[in-house]
Amino acid sequence: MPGHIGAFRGRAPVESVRATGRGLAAGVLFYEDGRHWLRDVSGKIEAPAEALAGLDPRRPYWAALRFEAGRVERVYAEAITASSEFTRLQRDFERHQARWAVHQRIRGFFLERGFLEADTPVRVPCPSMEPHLDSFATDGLYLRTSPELHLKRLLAAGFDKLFEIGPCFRAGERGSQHREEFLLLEWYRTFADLDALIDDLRHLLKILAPMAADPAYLQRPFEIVTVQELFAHRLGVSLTDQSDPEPLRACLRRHKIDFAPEDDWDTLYFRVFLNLIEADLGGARPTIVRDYPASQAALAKKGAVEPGRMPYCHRFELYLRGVEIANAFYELTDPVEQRARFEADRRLRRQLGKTAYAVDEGFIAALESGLPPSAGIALGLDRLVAVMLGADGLDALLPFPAEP
Amino acid sequence: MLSTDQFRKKLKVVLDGDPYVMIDVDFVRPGKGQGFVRTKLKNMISGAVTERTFKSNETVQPASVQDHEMQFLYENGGDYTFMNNQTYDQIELGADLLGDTVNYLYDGLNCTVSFFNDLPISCEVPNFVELEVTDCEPGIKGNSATNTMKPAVVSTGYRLNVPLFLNQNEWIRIDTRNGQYVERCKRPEGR
Repeated sequence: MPGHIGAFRGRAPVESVRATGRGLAAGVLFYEDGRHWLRDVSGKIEAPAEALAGLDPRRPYWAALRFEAGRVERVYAEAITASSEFTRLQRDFERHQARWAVHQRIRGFFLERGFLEADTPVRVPCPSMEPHLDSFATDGLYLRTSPELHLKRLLAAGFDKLFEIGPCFRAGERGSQHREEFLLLEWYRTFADLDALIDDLRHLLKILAPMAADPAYLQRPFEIVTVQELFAHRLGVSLTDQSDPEPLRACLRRHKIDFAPEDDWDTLYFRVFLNLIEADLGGARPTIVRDYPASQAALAKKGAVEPGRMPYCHRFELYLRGVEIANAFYELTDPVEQRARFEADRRLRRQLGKTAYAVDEGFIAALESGLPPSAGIALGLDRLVAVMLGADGLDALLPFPAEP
Repeated sequence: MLSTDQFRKKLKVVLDGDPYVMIDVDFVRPGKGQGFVRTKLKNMISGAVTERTFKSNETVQPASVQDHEMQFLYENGGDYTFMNNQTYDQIELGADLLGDTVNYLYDGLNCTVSFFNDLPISCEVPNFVELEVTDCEPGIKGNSATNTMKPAVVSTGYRLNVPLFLNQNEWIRIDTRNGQYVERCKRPEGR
Protein backbone atom coordinates (compact mmCIF):
# COMPACT_ATOMS: atom_id res chain seq x y z
CA MET A 1 0.00 0.00 0.00
CA PRO A 2 1.53 3.32 -1.01
CA GLY A 3 2.45 5.55 1.90
CA HIS A 4 4.00 8.55 0.17
CA ILE A 5 2.34 11.60 -1.20
CA GLY A 6 3.18 10.93 -4.84
CA ALA A 7 0.78 8.00 -4.81
CA PHE A 8 -2.12 10.42 -4.49
CA ARG A 9 -1.23 12.59 -7.45
CA GLY A 10 -4.37 13.20 -9.43
CA ARG A 11 -6.56 13.18 -6.31
CA ALA A 12 -9.85 14.87 -7.15
CA PRO A 13 -12.46 16.45 -4.90
CA VAL A 14 -14.93 13.84 -3.70
CA GLU A 15 -17.79 15.85 -5.19
CA SER A 16 -16.32 15.73 -8.70
CA VAL A 17 -15.66 11.97 -8.38
CA ARG A 18 -19.27 11.55 -7.30
CA ALA A 19 -20.50 13.62 -10.26
CA THR A 20 -18.37 11.88 -12.90
CA GLY A 21 -18.19 8.41 -11.34
CA ARG A 22 -14.43 8.28 -11.81
CA GLY A 23 -11.22 9.49 -10.26
CA LEU A 24 -9.17 9.19 -7.08
CA ALA A 25 -11.03 10.42 -4.00
CA ALA A 26 -9.51 10.67 -0.54
CA GLY A 27 -10.77 11.70 2.88
CA VAL A 28 -12.44 10.23 5.92
CA LEU A 29 -14.21 6.89 5.46
CA PHE A 30 -17.02 6.54 7.98
CA TYR A 31 -20.23 4.69 8.74
CA GLU A 32 -23.55 6.52 8.99
CA ASP A 33 -27.21 5.58 8.53
CA GLY A 34 -26.37 2.02 7.56
CA ARG A 35 -23.89 2.93 4.82
CA HIS A 36 -20.22 3.74 4.40
CA TRP A 37 -19.15 7.12 3.06
CA LEU A 38 -15.97 8.83 1.97
CA ARG A 39 -15.97 12.54 2.70
CA ASP A 40 -13.80 15.58 2.14
CA VAL A 41 -14.77 19.26 2.29
CA SER A 42 -16.34 19.11 -1.18
CA GLY A 43 -18.91 16.45 -0.30
CA LYS A 44 -19.38 12.74 0.30
CA ILE A 45 -19.67 9.63 -1.82
CA GLU A 46 -20.92 6.21 -0.87
CA ALA A 47 -18.15 3.62 -0.47
CA PRO A 48 -19.28 0.24 -1.88
CA ALA A 49 -18.72 -3.01 0.02
CA GLU A 50 -15.91 -4.10 -2.37
CA ALA A 51 -13.81 -1.19 -1.11
CA LEU A 52 -14.25 -2.17 2.53
CA ALA A 53 -12.86 -5.72 2.52
CA GLY A 54 -10.71 -6.37 5.57
CA LEU A 55 -11.66 -3.12 7.31
CA ASP A 56 -13.38 -2.89 10.68
CA PRO A 57 -16.85 -1.62 9.66
CA ARG A 58 -17.34 0.36 12.87
CA ARG A 59 -14.11 2.36 12.71
CA PRO A 60 -13.37 5.51 10.72
CA TYR A 61 -10.39 5.46 8.35
CA TRP A 62 -8.26 7.85 6.41
CA ALA A 63 -8.84 6.36 3.00
CA ALA A 64 -8.21 6.85 -0.73
CA LEU A 65 -10.47 5.11 -3.24
CA ARG A 66 -10.10 4.98 -6.99
CA PHE A 67 -13.45 4.92 -8.81
CA GLU A 68 -13.20 3.62 -12.35
CA ALA A 69 -15.61 2.12 -14.87
CA GLY A 70 -18.05 0.81 -12.30
CA ARG A 71 -15.44 -0.63 -9.94
CA VAL A 72 -13.72 0.78 -6.88
CA GLU A 73 -10.17 0.06 -5.80
CA ARG A 74 -8.92 0.89 -2.34
CA VAL A 75 -5.57 2.66 -2.67
CA TYR A 76 -5.02 3.53 0.97
CA ALA A 77 -6.62 2.99 4.39
CA GLU A 78 -5.32 3.90 7.80
CA ALA A 79 -7.54 3.45 10.88
CA ILE A 80 -8.34 6.61 12.81
CA THR A 81 -8.16 6.53 16.58
CA ALA A 82 -11.27 8.64 16.98
CA SER A 83 -10.82 11.20 19.75
CA SER A 84 -13.88 12.83 21.26
CA GLU A 85 -13.02 15.95 19.25
CA PHE A 86 -12.79 13.99 15.99
CA THR A 87 -16.15 12.39 16.71
CA ARG A 88 -17.78 15.71 17.60
CA LEU A 89 -16.45 17.61 14.58
CA GLN A 90 -17.27 14.76 12.19
CA ARG A 91 -20.79 14.54 13.61
CA ASP A 92 -21.36 18.28 13.00
CA PHE A 93 -19.26 18.42 9.80
CA GLU A 94 -22.00 19.71 7.54
CA ARG A 95 -23.15 22.32 10.03
CA HIS A 96 -19.64 23.74 10.33
CA GLN A 97 -19.40 23.80 6.54
CA ALA A 98 -22.73 25.62 6.39
CA ARG A 99 -21.47 28.16 8.92
CA TRP A 100 -18.33 28.93 6.94
CA ALA A 101 -20.37 29.11 3.77
CA VAL A 102 -22.51 31.82 5.39
CA HIS A 103 -19.35 33.79 6.21
CA GLN A 104 -18.28 33.58 2.56
CA ARG A 105 -21.71 34.63 1.32
CA ILE A 106 -21.65 37.66 3.60
CA ARG A 107 -18.20 38.65 2.31
CA GLY A 108 -19.50 38.28 -1.23
CA PHE A 109 -22.55 40.40 -0.42
CA PHE A 110 -20.46 43.36 0.70
CA LEU A 111 -17.87 43.04 -2.05
CA GLU A 112 -20.62 42.90 -4.68
CA ARG A 113 -22.00 46.15 -3.29
CA GLY A 114 -18.74 48.00 -3.53
CA PHE A 115 -17.62 47.81 0.10
CA LEU A 116 -13.93 47.53 0.82
CA GLU A 117 -12.90 44.74 3.20
CA ALA A 118 -10.61 46.25 5.82
CA ASP A 119 -8.58 44.85 8.66
CA THR A 120 -7.68 46.84 11.74
CA PRO A 121 -5.49 46.17 14.81
CA VAL A 122 -6.67 43.60 17.33
CA ARG A 123 -4.38 44.89 20.13
CA VAL A 124 -5.21 48.53 20.76
CA PRO A 125 -4.57 51.22 23.37
CA CYS A 126 -8.27 51.92 23.84
CA PRO A 127 -10.36 48.76 23.60
CA SER A 128 -13.71 50.36 24.33
CA MET A 129 -15.37 53.44 25.67
CA GLU A 130 -18.46 51.75 27.01
CA PRO A 131 -18.65 51.73 30.80
CA HIS A 132 -19.77 48.11 30.96
CA LEU A 133 -17.42 46.55 28.40
CA ASP A 134 -14.23 45.02 29.75
CA SER A 135 -11.23 43.88 27.79
CA PHE A 136 -8.15 41.72 28.30
CA ALA A 137 -4.83 43.45 29.00
CA THR A 138 -1.97 42.19 26.83
CA ASP A 139 1.37 43.70 27.76
CA GLY A 140 0.46 47.40 27.63
CA LEU A 141 -2.27 47.10 25.01
CA TYR A 142 -5.75 45.62 25.15
CA LEU A 143 -7.66 43.21 22.95
CA ARG A 144 -10.31 45.15 21.05
CA THR A 145 -13.95 44.79 22.05
CA SER A 146 -14.88 45.96 18.54
CA PRO A 147 -13.05 47.38 15.49
CA GLU A 148 -15.23 50.50 15.64
CA LEU A 149 -12.71 53.22 16.44
CA HIS A 150 -10.14 52.17 13.84
CA LEU A 151 -12.78 51.65 11.14
CA LYS A 152 -14.02 55.19 11.75
CA ARG A 153 -10.42 56.43 11.51
CA LEU A 154 -10.29 54.82 8.05
CA LEU A 155 -13.68 56.34 7.23
CA ALA A 156 -12.35 59.79 8.19
CA ALA A 157 -9.41 59.22 5.84
CA GLY A 158 -11.73 58.78 2.87
CA PHE A 159 -12.30 55.00 2.81
CA ASP A 160 -16.00 55.65 2.73
CA LYS A 161 -17.61 52.21 2.45
CA LEU A 162 -15.99 49.62 4.64
CA PHE A 163 -16.55 46.31 6.32
CA GLU A 164 -14.53 44.05 8.58
CA ILE A 165 -15.09 40.54 9.92
CA GLY A 166 -12.88 39.60 12.82
CA PRO A 167 -12.52 38.32 16.35
CA CYS A 168 -13.37 40.65 19.23
CA PHE A 169 -13.03 40.11 22.95
CA ARG A 170 -15.15 40.92 25.97
CA ALA A 171 -13.90 39.81 29.36
CA GLY A 172 -16.34 38.12 31.70
CA GLU A 173 -19.06 37.58 29.10
CA ARG A 174 -19.96 33.90 29.12
CA GLY A 175 -23.46 32.69 28.46
CA SER A 176 -25.61 30.90 25.94
CA GLN A 177 -25.39 33.95 23.63
CA HIS A 178 -22.06 35.33 24.87
CA ARG A 179 -18.46 34.28 24.49
CA GLU A 180 -15.38 36.14 25.61
CA GLU A 181 -14.04 35.74 22.04
CA PHE A 182 -16.50 36.06 19.17
CA LEU A 183 -16.76 37.18 15.55
CA LEU A 184 -18.02 40.65 14.85
CA LEU A 185 -19.06 41.94 11.43
CA GLU A 186 -19.05 45.72 11.17
CA TRP A 187 -19.85 47.90 8.19
CA TYR A 188 -19.90 51.63 7.65
CA ARG A 189 -21.28 54.03 5.08
CA THR A 190 -20.58 57.75 4.77
CA PHE A 191 -23.32 60.14 3.61
CA ALA A 192 -25.84 57.61 4.89
CA ASP A 193 -28.24 57.27 7.80
CA LEU A 194 -29.85 54.41 9.73
CA ASP A 195 -32.39 53.74 6.97
CA ALA A 196 -29.54 52.86 4.62
CA LEU A 197 -28.30 50.29 7.14
CA ILE A 198 -31.80 48.84 7.57
CA ASP A 199 -31.89 48.44 3.77
CA ASP A 200 -28.51 46.68 3.90
CA LEU A 201 -29.87 44.31 6.55
CA ARG A 202 -32.98 43.59 4.49
CA HIS A 203 -30.93 42.67 1.45
CA LEU A 204 -28.40 40.72 3.49
CA LEU A 205 -31.04 38.57 5.19
CA LYS A 206 -32.74 38.01 1.85
CA ILE A 207 -29.62 36.62 0.18
CA LEU A 208 -28.82 34.52 3.27
CA ALA A 209 -32.35 33.10 3.49
CA PRO A 210 -31.74 30.09 1.20
CA MET A 211 -28.96 28.96 3.55
CA ALA A 212 -31.20 29.15 6.64
CA ALA A 213 -33.20 26.40 8.32
CA ASP A 214 -36.31 28.60 7.98
CA PRO A 215 -35.84 30.66 4.78
CA ALA A 216 -39.31 32.26 4.93
CA TYR A 217 -38.61 33.90 8.28
CA LEU A 218 -35.60 35.90 7.08
CA GLN A 219 -37.52 37.21 4.06
CA ARG A 220 -40.51 38.55 5.96
CA PRO A 221 -40.94 42.33 6.05
CA PHE A 222 -39.21 43.82 9.09
CA GLU A 223 -41.17 45.05 12.05
CA ILE A 224 -39.80 48.48 12.98
CA VAL A 225 -40.66 49.86 16.40
CA THR A 226 -39.24 52.55 18.68
CA VAL A 227 -38.20 51.80 22.25
CA GLN A 228 -40.81 54.24 23.48
CA GLU A 229 -43.59 52.47 21.52
CA LEU A 230 -42.38 49.06 22.66
CA PHE A 231 -42.69 49.94 26.34
CA ALA A 232 -45.93 51.89 25.89
CA HIS A 233 -47.77 49.39 23.69
CA ARG A 234 -46.66 46.14 25.27
CA LEU A 235 -46.60 47.15 28.90
CA GLY A 236 -48.27 50.53 29.21
CA VAL A 237 -45.05 52.02 30.57
CA SER A 238 -44.24 55.63 29.73
CA LEU A 239 -40.56 56.39 29.16
CA THR A 240 -40.99 60.08 28.33
CA ASP A 241 -39.31 61.29 31.51
CA GLN A 242 -35.91 59.70 32.09
CA SER A 243 -35.66 61.44 35.48
CA ASP A 244 -38.71 59.53 36.75
CA PRO A 245 -38.09 55.84 37.49
CA GLU A 246 -41.56 55.33 38.97
CA PRO A 247 -43.35 53.98 35.84
CA LEU A 248 -40.62 51.32 35.52
CA ARG A 249 -40.77 50.44 39.22
CA ALA A 250 -44.57 50.16 39.07
CA CYS A 251 -44.29 47.82 36.08
CA LEU A 252 -41.74 45.59 37.86
CA ARG A 253 -43.92 45.47 40.98
CA ARG A 254 -46.95 44.60 38.85
CA HIS A 255 -45.08 41.66 37.34
CA LYS A 256 -43.49 40.62 40.66
CA ILE A 257 -39.95 41.18 39.41
CA ASP A 258 -37.33 42.06 42.00
CA PHE A 259 -35.33 45.25 41.88
CA ALA A 260 -33.10 47.10 44.29
CA PRO A 261 -33.98 50.47 45.83
CA GLU A 262 -30.71 51.94 44.52
CA ASP A 263 -31.34 50.83 40.90
CA ASP A 264 -31.13 53.83 38.57
CA TRP A 265 -33.42 54.48 35.59
CA ASP A 266 -31.27 52.52 33.15
CA THR A 267 -30.97 49.49 35.45
CA LEU A 268 -34.74 49.43 35.94
CA TYR A 269 -35.18 49.83 32.18
CA PHE A 270 -32.98 46.78 31.56
CA ARG A 271 -34.80 44.73 34.20
CA VAL A 272 -38.11 45.40 32.41
CA PHE A 273 -36.56 44.87 28.99
CA LEU A 274 -34.82 41.58 29.86
CA ASN A 275 -37.74 40.06 31.76
CA LEU A 276 -40.78 41.27 29.87
CA ILE A 277 -39.80 42.32 26.35
CA GLU A 278 -36.67 40.79 24.86
CA ALA A 279 -37.76 37.15 24.54
CA ASP A 280 -40.63 38.06 22.19
CA LEU A 281 -38.69 40.41 19.91
CA GLY A 282 -38.38 39.11 16.39
CA GLY A 283 -40.51 36.05 17.12
CA ALA A 284 -42.58 36.18 13.95
CA ARG A 285 -40.31 38.33 11.76
CA PRO A 286 -37.04 40.23 11.92
CA THR A 287 -37.52 43.21 14.19
CA ILE A 288 -35.75 46.55 14.32
CA VAL A 289 -35.92 48.38 17.65
CA ARG A 290 -34.90 52.02 17.21
CA ASP A 291 -34.53 55.35 18.99
CA TYR A 292 -32.91 54.17 22.21
CA PRO A 293 -32.87 56.27 25.39
CA ALA A 294 -30.38 59.14 25.14
CA SER A 295 -28.54 57.71 28.16
CA GLN A 296 -27.70 54.64 26.05
CA ALA A 297 -26.31 56.54 23.08
CA ALA A 298 -22.71 55.27 23.35
CA LEU A 299 -21.26 56.58 20.05
CA ALA A 300 -24.56 57.55 18.42
CA LYS A 301 -25.81 61.03 17.68
CA LYS A 302 -28.58 62.18 19.97
CA GLY A 303 -31.97 63.14 18.55
CA ALA A 304 -33.55 66.57 18.84
CA VAL A 305 -35.48 67.06 22.07
CA GLU A 306 -39.22 67.04 21.40
CA PRO A 307 -42.04 67.56 23.89
CA GLY A 308 -43.84 64.32 24.84
CA ARG A 309 -41.03 62.24 23.41
CA MET A 310 -38.41 60.29 25.34
CA PRO A 311 -34.96 61.87 24.91
CA TYR A 312 -33.47 59.48 22.37
CA CYS A 313 -30.47 58.74 20.20
CA HIS A 314 -30.12 57.61 16.60
CA ARG A 315 -29.44 53.97 17.28
CA PHE A 316 -31.19 50.72 16.36
CA GLU A 317 -30.85 47.05 17.09
CA LEU A 318 -31.87 44.03 15.06
CA TYR A 319 -33.58 41.15 16.86
CA LEU A 320 -34.13 37.69 15.42
CA ARG A 321 -36.14 35.19 17.44
CA GLY A 322 -35.52 36.94 20.74
CA VAL A 323 -31.78 37.27 20.15
CA GLU A 324 -30.03 40.64 19.84
CA ILE A 325 -28.10 40.39 16.58
CA ALA A 326 -26.84 43.85 15.57
CA ASN A 327 -26.44 47.37 16.88
CA ALA A 328 -26.27 50.43 14.62
CA PHE A 329 -25.43 54.08 15.15
CA TYR A 330 -25.95 57.21 13.18
CA GLU A 331 -22.47 58.24 14.15
CA LEU A 332 -21.56 60.99 16.52
CA THR A 333 -19.09 63.09 14.51
CA ASP A 334 -18.58 65.99 16.91
CA PRO A 335 -15.11 65.66 18.49
CA VAL A 336 -15.94 67.91 21.45
CA GLU A 337 -19.02 65.94 22.48
CA GLN A 338 -17.20 62.69 21.78
CA ARG A 339 -14.36 63.65 24.15
CA ALA A 340 -16.89 64.73 26.80
CA ARG A 341 -18.67 61.34 26.54
CA PHE A 342 -15.36 59.49 26.80
CA GLU A 343 -14.43 61.46 29.91
CA ALA A 344 -17.86 60.80 31.46
CA ASP A 345 -17.48 57.09 30.73
CA ARG A 346 -13.98 57.11 32.26
CA ARG A 347 -15.37 58.69 35.43
CA LEU A 348 -18.12 56.09 35.59
CA ARG A 349 -15.66 53.26 35.09
CA ARG A 350 -13.50 54.55 37.93
CA GLN A 351 -16.57 54.74 40.17
CA LEU A 352 -17.36 51.13 39.28
CA GLY A 353 -13.81 50.18 40.28
CA LYS A 354 -12.83 49.33 36.69
CA THR A 355 -9.83 50.26 34.58
CA ALA A 356 -10.45 53.62 32.90
CA TYR A 357 -8.99 53.05 29.44
CA ALA A 358 -7.06 55.92 27.83
CA VAL A 359 -8.96 58.04 25.34
CA ASP A 360 -8.12 57.02 21.75
CA GLU A 361 -6.48 60.25 20.64
CA GLY A 362 -6.11 58.97 17.10
CA PHE A 363 -9.87 58.60 16.93
CA ILE A 364 -10.52 62.07 18.39
CA ALA A 365 -8.01 63.51 15.90
CA ALA A 366 -9.87 61.77 13.07
CA LEU A 367 -13.13 63.40 14.18
CA GLU A 368 -11.35 66.75 14.47
CA SER A 369 -10.06 66.45 10.92
CA GLY A 370 -13.64 65.70 9.92
CA LEU A 371 -16.00 62.77 9.50
CA PRO A 372 -18.95 63.26 7.12
CA PRO A 373 -22.43 62.15 8.21
CA SER A 374 -22.02 58.39 8.58
CA ALA A 375 -23.80 55.29 9.79
CA GLY A 376 -22.25 52.10 11.08
CA ILE A 377 -23.36 48.76 12.44
CA ALA A 378 -21.88 45.89 14.43
CA LEU A 379 -23.39 42.45 13.93
CA GLY A 380 -22.72 39.40 16.10
CA LEU A 381 -21.88 36.93 13.36
CA ASP A 382 -21.94 33.82 15.54
CA ARG A 383 -25.37 34.71 16.88
CA LEU A 384 -26.74 35.38 13.41
CA VAL A 385 -25.48 32.04 12.11
CA ALA A 386 -26.79 30.20 15.18
CA VAL A 387 -30.27 31.64 14.63
CA MET A 388 -30.05 30.90 10.87
CA LEU A 389 -29.01 27.28 11.30
CA GLY A 390 -31.35 26.67 14.23
CA ALA A 391 -28.52 26.02 16.70
CA ASP A 392 -29.52 26.48 20.32
CA GLY A 393 -26.94 29.03 21.47
CA LEU A 394 -23.28 29.48 20.61
CA ASP A 395 -22.00 26.28 22.20
CA ALA A 396 -24.22 24.26 19.87
CA LEU A 397 -22.85 26.18 16.86
CA LEU A 398 -19.13 26.69 17.26
CA PRO A 399 -16.58 23.99 16.45
CA PHE A 400 -14.69 24.37 19.72
CA PRO A 401 -16.12 24.68 23.23
CA ALA A 402 -15.33 27.79 25.27
CA GLU A 403 -12.18 27.16 27.31
CA PRO A 404 -13.01 27.01 31.01
CA MET B 1 -21.30 35.74 49.99
CA LEU B 2 -21.45 34.50 46.41
CA SER B 3 -21.00 36.85 43.48
CA THR B 4 -22.84 36.36 40.18
CA ASP B 5 -19.67 35.13 38.44
CA GLN B 6 -19.72 32.16 40.84
CA PHE B 7 -23.28 31.24 39.91
CA ARG B 8 -23.52 27.70 38.57
CA LYS B 9 -26.20 25.11 38.11
CA LYS B 10 -26.88 23.22 41.38
CA LEU B 11 -25.57 26.10 43.53
CA LYS B 12 -27.67 26.50 46.69
CA VAL B 13 -28.46 30.03 47.83
CA VAL B 14 -30.74 31.78 50.32
CA LEU B 15 -33.32 34.25 48.97
CA ASP B 16 -35.95 35.87 51.18
CA GLY B 17 -35.05 33.38 53.89
CA ASP B 18 -35.71 30.27 51.79
CA PRO B 19 -33.13 27.89 50.34
CA TYR B 20 -33.06 27.71 46.53
CA VAL B 21 -31.09 25.59 44.12
CA MET B 22 -30.08 27.07 40.75
CA ILE B 23 -31.38 25.04 37.85
CA ASP B 24 -30.43 27.44 35.06
CA VAL B 25 -27.87 30.26 34.86
CA ASP B 26 -27.25 32.51 31.86
CA PHE B 27 -25.21 35.70 31.47
CA VAL B 28 -26.85 38.44 29.41
CA ARG B 29 -25.63 41.90 28.52
CA PRO B 30 -28.15 43.88 26.54
CA GLY B 31 -26.55 46.26 24.03
CA LYS B 32 -24.83 49.22 25.70
CA GLY B 33 -26.06 48.15 29.12
CA GLN B 34 -24.55 46.45 32.12
CA GLY B 35 -24.39 42.71 32.52
CA PHE B 36 -27.06 40.69 34.23
CA VAL B 37 -27.31 37.05 35.18
CA ARG B 38 -30.62 35.38 34.52
CA THR B 39 -31.39 32.45 36.78
CA LYS B 40 -34.05 29.86 37.18
CA LEU B 41 -34.31 28.81 40.82
CA LYS B 42 -36.13 26.03 42.59
CA ASN B 43 -37.35 26.59 46.09
CA MET B 44 -35.99 23.60 48.00
CA ILE B 45 -38.92 23.60 50.41
CA SER B 46 -41.95 24.18 48.18
CA GLY B 47 -40.42 22.91 44.94
CA ALA B 48 -41.74 26.00 43.14
CA VAL B 49 -39.58 27.30 40.29
CA THR B 50 -39.04 31.04 39.87
CA GLU B 51 -36.94 33.21 37.59
CA ARG B 52 -34.77 35.98 38.90
CA THR B 53 -32.38 38.42 37.23
CA PHE B 54 -29.32 39.62 39.12
CA LYS B 55 -27.05 42.53 38.26
CA SER B 56 -23.49 41.41 37.51
CA ASN B 57 -21.46 41.40 40.75
CA GLU B 58 -24.55 41.34 42.92
CA THR B 59 -24.05 38.93 45.81
CA VAL B 60 -26.26 36.39 47.52
CA GLN B 61 -25.82 34.24 50.57
CA PRO B 62 -24.92 30.60 50.08
CA ALA B 63 -27.43 28.21 51.61
CA SER B 64 -25.87 25.77 53.98
CA VAL B 65 -27.86 22.68 53.25
CA GLN B 66 -26.73 19.47 54.92
CA ASP B 67 -27.46 16.14 53.34
CA HIS B 68 -27.75 13.09 55.59
CA GLU B 69 -28.10 9.50 54.55
CA MET B 70 -31.12 8.10 56.34
CA GLN B 71 -32.90 4.79 56.28
CA PHE B 72 -36.67 4.55 56.00
CA LEU B 73 -38.08 2.48 58.88
CA TYR B 74 -41.89 2.57 58.95
CA GLU B 75 -45.01 4.60 58.33
CA ASN B 76 -47.61 5.29 60.99
CA GLY B 77 -50.75 7.32 60.32
CA GLY B 78 -49.16 9.44 57.58
CA ASP B 79 -45.90 10.00 59.48
CA TYR B 80 -42.82 8.40 57.98
CA THR B 81 -39.99 7.51 60.34
CA PHE B 82 -36.38 7.67 59.14
CA MET B 83 -33.15 6.87 60.97
CA ASN B 84 -29.84 8.66 60.50
CA ASN B 85 -27.34 5.97 59.49
CA GLN B 86 -24.49 7.67 61.36
CA THR B 87 -26.08 8.88 64.59
CA TYR B 88 -29.09 6.51 64.71
CA ASP B 89 -31.25 9.59 65.46
CA GLN B 90 -34.80 9.13 64.26
CA ILE B 91 -37.05 11.76 62.66
CA GLU B 92 -40.58 11.76 61.33
CA LEU B 93 -41.35 13.31 57.93
CA GLY B 94 -44.87 14.13 56.75
CA ALA B 95 -46.40 13.02 53.47
CA ASP B 96 -46.45 16.69 52.33
CA LEU B 97 -42.69 16.96 52.40
CA LEU B 98 -42.19 13.52 50.85
CA GLY B 99 -44.56 13.99 47.92
CA ASP B 100 -44.23 11.21 45.32
CA THR B 101 -41.33 9.58 47.13
CA VAL B 102 -43.82 7.79 49.43
CA ASN B 103 -44.53 5.55 46.41
CA TYR B 104 -41.06 4.01 46.72
CA LEU B 105 -40.39 3.82 50.47
CA TYR B 106 -39.76 0.34 51.80
CA ASP B 107 -38.29 -0.74 55.10
CA GLY B 108 -34.52 -0.29 54.92
CA LEU B 109 -34.38 2.02 51.84
CA ASN B 110 -31.50 4.50 52.10
CA CYS B 111 -32.58 8.07 51.25
CA THR B 112 -30.86 11.44 51.28
CA VAL B 113 -32.63 13.86 53.58
CA SER B 114 -31.60 17.54 53.25
CA PHE B 115 -31.65 19.90 56.22
CA PHE B 116 -31.69 23.70 56.08
CA ASN B 117 -31.16 25.41 59.45
CA ASP B 118 -31.54 21.96 61.06
CA LEU B 119 -35.02 21.50 59.59
CA PRO B 120 -35.64 18.72 57.08
CA ILE B 121 -36.66 20.21 53.73
CA SER B 122 -36.49 17.39 51.22
CA CYS B 123 -36.00 13.67 50.82
CA GLU B 124 -34.40 12.09 47.76
CA VAL B 125 -34.74 8.41 46.95
CA PRO B 126 -32.35 6.55 44.61
CA ASN B 127 -33.11 6.91 40.88
CA PHE B 128 -34.10 3.24 40.74
CA VAL B 129 -35.83 1.07 43.33
CA GLU B 130 -36.83 -2.61 43.22
CA LEU B 131 -40.32 -3.49 44.45
CA GLU B 132 -42.50 -6.59 44.49
CA VAL B 133 -45.67 -6.74 42.40
CA THR B 134 -48.43 -7.54 44.91
CA ASP B 135 -51.38 -7.42 42.56
CA CYS B 136 -51.92 -7.72 38.81
CA GLU B 137 -53.71 -9.93 36.29
CA PRO B 138 -51.90 -13.22 35.59
CA GLY B 139 -49.08 -12.89 33.10
CA ILE B 140 -49.51 -13.86 29.46
CA LYS B 141 -46.79 -16.37 28.74
CA GLY B 142 -44.57 -15.71 25.80
CA ASN B 143 -45.73 -12.13 25.41
CA SER B 144 -42.45 -10.31 25.63
CA ALA B 145 -43.80 -7.07 24.18
CA THR B 146 -43.04 -4.12 26.40
CA ASN B 147 -45.30 -1.64 24.66
CA THR B 148 -48.61 -3.19 25.75
CA MET B 149 -49.17 -2.61 29.43
CA LYS B 150 -51.57 -3.58 32.22
CA PRO B 151 -52.16 -2.03 35.64
CA ALA B 152 -50.35 -3.40 38.71
CA VAL B 153 -49.84 -2.60 42.38
CA VAL B 154 -46.48 -2.91 44.16
CA SER B 155 -45.76 -3.57 47.83
CA THR B 156 -45.82 0.13 48.75
CA GLY B 157 -49.37 0.45 47.37
CA TYR B 158 -48.12 2.39 44.34
CA ARG B 159 -50.05 1.75 41.13
CA LEU B 160 -48.32 1.71 37.76
CA ASN B 161 -48.45 0.01 34.37
CA VAL B 162 -46.32 -3.04 33.67
CA PRO B 163 -45.87 -5.31 30.60
CA LEU B 164 -48.33 -8.16 30.08
CA PHE B 165 -45.87 -10.97 30.87
CA LEU B 166 -45.46 -10.01 34.54
CA ASN B 167 -46.99 -12.03 37.37
CA GLN B 168 -47.89 -11.33 40.97
CA ASN B 169 -44.91 -11.72 43.40
CA GLU B 170 -42.40 -10.95 40.69
CA TRP B 171 -39.99 -8.07 41.27
CA ILE B 172 -39.58 -5.03 39.07
CA ARG B 173 -37.25 -2.02 38.86
CA ILE B 174 -38.93 1.43 38.81
CA ASP B 175 -37.42 4.77 37.74
CA THR B 176 -38.33 7.10 40.62
CA ARG B 177 -37.79 10.21 38.48
CA ASN B 178 -40.81 9.46 36.34
CA GLY B 179 -42.50 6.65 38.26
CA GLN B 180 -42.30 4.25 35.30
CA TYR B 181 -41.55 0.56 35.03
CA VAL B 182 -38.00 -0.13 33.81
CA GLU B 183 -37.47 -3.90 33.82
CA ARG B 184 -38.18 -7.18 35.58
CA CYS B 185 -35.51 -8.10 38.16
CA LYS B 186 -34.59 -10.74 40.72
CA ARG B 187 -35.69 -10.39 44.31
CA PRO B 188 -32.87 -8.36 45.88
CA GLU B 189 -30.86 -10.17 48.55
CA GLY B 190 -32.17 -9.75 52.06
CA ARG B 191 -35.64 -8.58 51.07
